[in-house]
Parts: sequence; structure tokens; C-alpha cells
Amino acid sequence: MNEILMGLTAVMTPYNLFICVAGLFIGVLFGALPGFSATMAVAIFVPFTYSMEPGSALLLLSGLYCGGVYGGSIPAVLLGIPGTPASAPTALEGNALVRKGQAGKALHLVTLASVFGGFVSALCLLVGSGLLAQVAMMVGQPEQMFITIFGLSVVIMLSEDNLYKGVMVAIVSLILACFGQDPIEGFPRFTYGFSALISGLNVTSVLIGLFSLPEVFKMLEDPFGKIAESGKVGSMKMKLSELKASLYNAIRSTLIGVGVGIVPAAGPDIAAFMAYNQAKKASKHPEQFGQGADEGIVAAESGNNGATGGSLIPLLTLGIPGSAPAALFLSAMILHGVRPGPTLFTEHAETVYTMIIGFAVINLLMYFVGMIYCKAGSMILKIPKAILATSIVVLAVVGTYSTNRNMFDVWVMFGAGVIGYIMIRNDFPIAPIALALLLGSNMEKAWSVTKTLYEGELYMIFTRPLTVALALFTVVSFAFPLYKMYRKHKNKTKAAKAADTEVK
Amino acid sequence: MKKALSLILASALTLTMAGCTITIGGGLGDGTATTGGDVSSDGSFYAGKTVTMIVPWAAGGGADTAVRLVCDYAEDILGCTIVISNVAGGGGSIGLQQLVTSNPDGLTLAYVANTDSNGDVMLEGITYTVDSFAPVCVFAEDPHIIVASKDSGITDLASLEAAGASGETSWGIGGAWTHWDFLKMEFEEATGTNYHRVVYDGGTTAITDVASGDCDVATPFISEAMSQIDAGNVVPVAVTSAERNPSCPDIPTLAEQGLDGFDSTMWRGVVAPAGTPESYLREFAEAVGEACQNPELLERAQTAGTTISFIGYDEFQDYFMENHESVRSYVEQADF
Repeated sequence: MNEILMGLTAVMTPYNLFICVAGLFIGVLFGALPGFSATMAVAIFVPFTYSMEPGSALLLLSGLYCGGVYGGSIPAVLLGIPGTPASAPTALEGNALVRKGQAGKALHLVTLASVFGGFVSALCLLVGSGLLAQVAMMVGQPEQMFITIFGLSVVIMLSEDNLYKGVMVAIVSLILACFGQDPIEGFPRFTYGFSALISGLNVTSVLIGLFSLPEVFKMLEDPFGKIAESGKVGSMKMKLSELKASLYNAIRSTLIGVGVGIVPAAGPDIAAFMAYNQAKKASKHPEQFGQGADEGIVAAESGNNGATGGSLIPLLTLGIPGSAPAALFLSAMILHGVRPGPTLFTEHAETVYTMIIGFAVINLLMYFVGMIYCKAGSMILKIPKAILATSIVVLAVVGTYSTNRNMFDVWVMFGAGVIGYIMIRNDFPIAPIALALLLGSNMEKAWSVTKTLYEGELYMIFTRPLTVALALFTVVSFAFPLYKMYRKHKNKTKAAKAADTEVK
Repeated sequence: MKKALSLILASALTLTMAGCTITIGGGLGDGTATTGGDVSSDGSFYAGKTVTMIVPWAAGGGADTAVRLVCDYAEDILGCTIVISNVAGGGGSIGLQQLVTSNPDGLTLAYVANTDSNGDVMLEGITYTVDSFAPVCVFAEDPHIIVASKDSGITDLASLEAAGASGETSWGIGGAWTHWDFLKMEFEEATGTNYHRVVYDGGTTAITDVASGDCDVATPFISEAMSQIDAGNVVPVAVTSAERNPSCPDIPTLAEQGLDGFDSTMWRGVVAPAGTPESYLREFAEAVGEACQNPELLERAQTAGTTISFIGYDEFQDYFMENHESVRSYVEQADF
């Protein structure tokens, strides 16, 4: 309690509050620009924090991180281009709402869900970090392996309309995730003699191309039109009853987010997909998903922001970063002598509690910063598509190049964009690519360690209780949607046979 | 004397040719060396210029942190501006490829570590060889800490060696084809032992698995290991450098425990493209050497978990080649 008050007073100084707001403003901007990401925002500002107090430095980075994850959802709603992979499921729904003239409502919903997810995850971090650290410790390599496979089961849901195409895309993408050195022997695979492929395809570049360029090509099919034909953004007002209806969904999605965040190998992007998946399973109107379902937006956004706090748990208690921005947090903390690990909470209590309380405050402030951006951002719907498309391509190229200063990544980005457009025009879902690329390499790493640790007696992994539970989840998550589809199919044929007499 | 004269002449010439660069860079320098005349009179090549330091790894990583720290101080001594350029990808090869194809004018340098000169045998599609580089200096040597799980019963070198007799004790490394791999091979060769190699994606993941008992032994860096050691979750066995480390003075070296002369660290250094004039590189190396004695830098480095240790220009020429040959022979013998 003492530490909490200490943290609260540290955050509530004008300087630190200013730092939080500044971090948010910059973070949201980075997240919102296609091609730029939360990771870049944190990477650029890490050197700036060297001269700051450790507490303030971590507050700035937290603001950038939370803002970046949230910011990605603004273009996801408005343009159907997720600013960061974590907003990919939001893009599936948001764009449909814009076409219905409900952009304002969608943005408000996104903001509220993000604030809720982020704030609750900060509370979980504050109250349960000790307990959750125990959980994080229990998640060894065999558990991580099952979690990644579990994550892949979301592909089935994403491609319910055309299961074979979806699964095919996922399998090809898993092979793409194998490009580069194999994790055990360092043998280069699928590199075709290019040294640039030694570390594999850069997932960020692929995703930037895949999500931004096809939308650009679509815009160019009608270059003089505007995104919202009527120029109507729609009211931002929402009814209380609508909020109440989403509350349960938001709580569930946030908890999924926190849980996924704890797993070292998965971050906000995977959390968003999983929460979206569960929301669709639990929904009374699953057929609305993809056509602008509020539930989908709420789930994805509270899920990915829930993971921001969750991913700090393995970072703070074990020193293991759960996502790329978390890895940068780690190096900033080490540089300030605030070394993450089991002794962090005793040795650096003030800094840590400043950061955690700051995390909660930042998420509340995010509502106000977010609404400013949403108001301003909705203007882009009125810009002619030709101008918009050009700016997006410029941003995508600059963003891709500046991450690694590497021209090869830019070609990868363009390649992914062209392939993505061809896929969309032929009704292949592109979301499974994101999922498979993000999970593929982690799955391989976890599998290779598990395999070497349990060499010759792989069945012994089932002596770990958590592994058994996760393995069962995984089996169910693959089987359940298939069973549901089978039943639907059977009902349909039955209904057809029984003609008019037996209408379901 | 003759050498000094030629040095002055050479730098004067370069300065006249690169007049443009000087005016731009001069404003960014410390203000004492803004005109060409001042610079050439004290024989300094770097004063007032802008140097690009390629770090072939992502911003925020261990390599990046160490380079930025040292360059921060070397910059003031040289009176120049050092721009850190993170060119990541290709297992470090893309940045080094960019270095070897750049002008050998002393203004483009790169970060280098133990295994980089062997890219042509370890990676694929690499066109540069050890001869493409001109070694400049080493500024840090990071030791590993050998830690063991509490269940393993390993507490010192003797019990570690005993556990390595059967080949069943698992030894977690932070990545294939990195210094982690070569450290394991060196240790096995020195003690005649054999461990079960488990490849993780970093030292922290490895030590976490040691803390939970899934893996028996791991060799993380100091910054990755200290918190788990302080919390009593793992048993520290030894540091791999020749001398004890100031960050953890209680942990004995392998040499102290009977493994005479064992010294294996991950060194971090600077290289230039082959053909860069030696006088420039000497100037740069000397400045880094001076920076490495700054107590403020040493303190900041210790906080960041890096062990500053300087190897000058002359010594590094041989050290670089010896290290190259040693790594090459391990790569060629490697049998996983």
C-alpha cells in the first residue's frame, strides 16, 4: 500500500504527467501512421530517456507503447489498414462500419474498449504481479509450444467461409516463417543464396505491405472518390445500453489479453486475434462478424490493450520481453540500472510502482488524447482517394526502410502488398498470414527446445499439468469449429431433404 | 617525425578536399575545431567531421547499448559527431556488407564481435571475408556466468565437470552460431566433457528455464543473470573471463577453480573497411582508449551490464586474426 501511494505521488507531479501525455500523443501518431509502429516509437525515444530519471523514462516509454497499440486501430477503422498488426481484427469490422456511415461510433467504441483493456491490465499488474509471476514461471517451453498451436486455431474461425483457402494460406505462411537460419544448427533454409534472408523475412515489413498496399490498390480502382462517399463521419454519441451490452465481452477480452501477455512468446497482436475469436464463438450473432460487428471491435481492442499490461509481467519479474516493444523496455531499464527480474520489486520498488501506477493513469489519459485524434483523424475520410493512396505508399516505404535501414525489406513489403491484393481479389483471407508469421517462428523455437529437452521421451511433456490443460484446449479449439460446421452442414442437408415439413 | 609530417600533410589534404563536410560537421562539434587550419595543425583527422558507425543489430539491444555508450564519450575526445546507424537483418551480415562496400575514408566504421569475420562460412551468400575488414580496437569484453539449477546439484567446477561425463546434462545456450555455442565448445574441449546442447533464443530465456529446473546449466551474460542469482533461484558456478568481474566480485573464475588460463568472453569492437589509412584508425582507437578510462563511462557501463575493456590498435590486429582462426576451426569441427 505504501509503495502504491509512493508511486501515485511520483506520477502525479506536473512533469511526469506531461511526460505521460507527450508519450501518448507521439505514440498514437506512430501507431496511426501506416508503416510506423509502437515498436518504432519506443525505439526512437529510448536514447532520449538516457538522461532522464528512471521513473520518468519508463513513463515516457509506457505512454509511447500504450499509445502506439491504441493508435493502430484508428486507421484500421477509417481505412481498413491496421496501423499495427494488433489492430488487424479491428480492421475486419471497422471498415464495414465506416461504409455504413458509423465511423464516429466505431472510433468511440475502439477508444473506450482500449482504455478499459489497458486500465484493467494495469490493475492486474498492480494487484497480481506476484501471483502472475508464478504463472509466468510455470509457462515453460512445452507450454509455449501448445499456446502457439492454440493461437493458430484462430485461423479456422477467420476462414469459416472458405476453410480450405484459409488453411492453405496458413500453411504456406508457416513455411514462409521457416525462412532463414534454423534455430538449432543455424543452417540457412530457403535463402536462395541471399544473405538478406539469413534472419528470415522481416515480419513487420511483410505485414505493412500486406495490410496497407491492397487497400491502396483498391482505392486506385476509383481514384477520385472519397472513403465515406457521403462525407459523413457519423455521430460519436453512444447509448448507455450499448455500453452495458459490451461490458461482459470487454471483461472477457481483457482477461484473454492479460493472459496472452503473460506468455513470453505472444504479445498484443495474438491477444487481439484470440479475443476476437472468443467473442465470435460467444456471440449470439456470429454472422454479423466481418459485416461491422461492435462486439468484434470491442473484443479486439480490449484484448490487445489488455496484453500491454500483461506483457510487462514476464518482463518485470523474469526479464523476458513478451513483445518487440517490451524488448526495448528491457534495454532501457537495464541501462538505468533498474534490472528486471525476481529482485526488481524489492530493490527498485519506487521506480516499478511509479511505472505501474503510471500505466493505469496513462490508460485513462488515453481516452482524451484518443478522442482528439479520432476527431482529427476522421477528416481523412473526406480526402480524395488519389491523395490518400499516395501518402499511404510513401509512409509505408519510409516506415519499412527506417526500421532496419535495409532496402531488401522494402522490396519484401511491396511483394507482400501485390500478393495480398491478388489474394483479396480471389477471396483468399489475408489475416491468417499475419497470425502464422507471428506465431510460426515462436512455435518452432519452443518446439525445438522441447524436443531437445525431452529427447527420445517426448510423451514425458504430459507429466506437466499445465501442458496437459493447454493440449486439451488446443484439441478442443480445433475440433469445436469443425464440429459446428459439420452440424450446420448436416442440418442443411436434412432440412433440404425434409423439404417444407421440417424447417429449423 | 617524418610520420607526423606526412600525417599532417595527409589530413590537410583530406580536409581541403572534404571542405564541405567540415563546415557541416563543424557546427555539431565541440566548437574548438571549426576551421580546417586549426584541425590540421594538431594533426587530428576526425575533428569536426561526421562519422557513421554501423551497428548491424537492432536499436536497443546489447550491442547497440554498448556502442552508443562508448561513442558518446569518444565523440567528445575526437571532436567529431558519431552517427549510430542500425542496419539490422541477415544475422548481422547486411550491416557489415554495407560497411565493406563503403568508401575506406575512415568516416564509416562498424561494430564487430567474435563471430562476424567468419560470416562467409557460417552464413550463406556472404561476399566479404576476414580480409575485407581493417580491425580498429576492442572496447568491451563481456564474460558469461555459468549458472546451474538448484536440482542439478552443481555448485562448482568439479561438480560441473562430473555432470558433464555422461553427456546427459542439458546446457542452454542463447543462440546457434553465436559466442554461446563457441564458449560451450571451448569449455568441453578444455575439460574433456560433453553436454546436451539446448538452443534458446536468448540468455534470459535460458536462465529462466534453469530457474524453473527444466534445464540444468546455462551461460547468460551478467545483465541477464544477476537478478536470478540475487533472488537465489539459480546457483552461480563461475565467470568465464580470466579475472573476476566488478559487477559480481563473489563469483570465482574458472581459472581459480583449476581450469588454468581459461578465458572466453564476448568481445565488442570496431572495424573499418580494408584499405582505410592506418593513421585514421589509430587516432580513432586512441580516442576510444581514452574514453574507456573515463570513470563516468565505466560506471554507466557497469549499470548497463557491460564490462569495458580496451584492446588497442596494434594488439587487436593479431587478436582479431587469432580469434578468426579459432572460431573458424570450431565451425569446421562442429558436430551437433
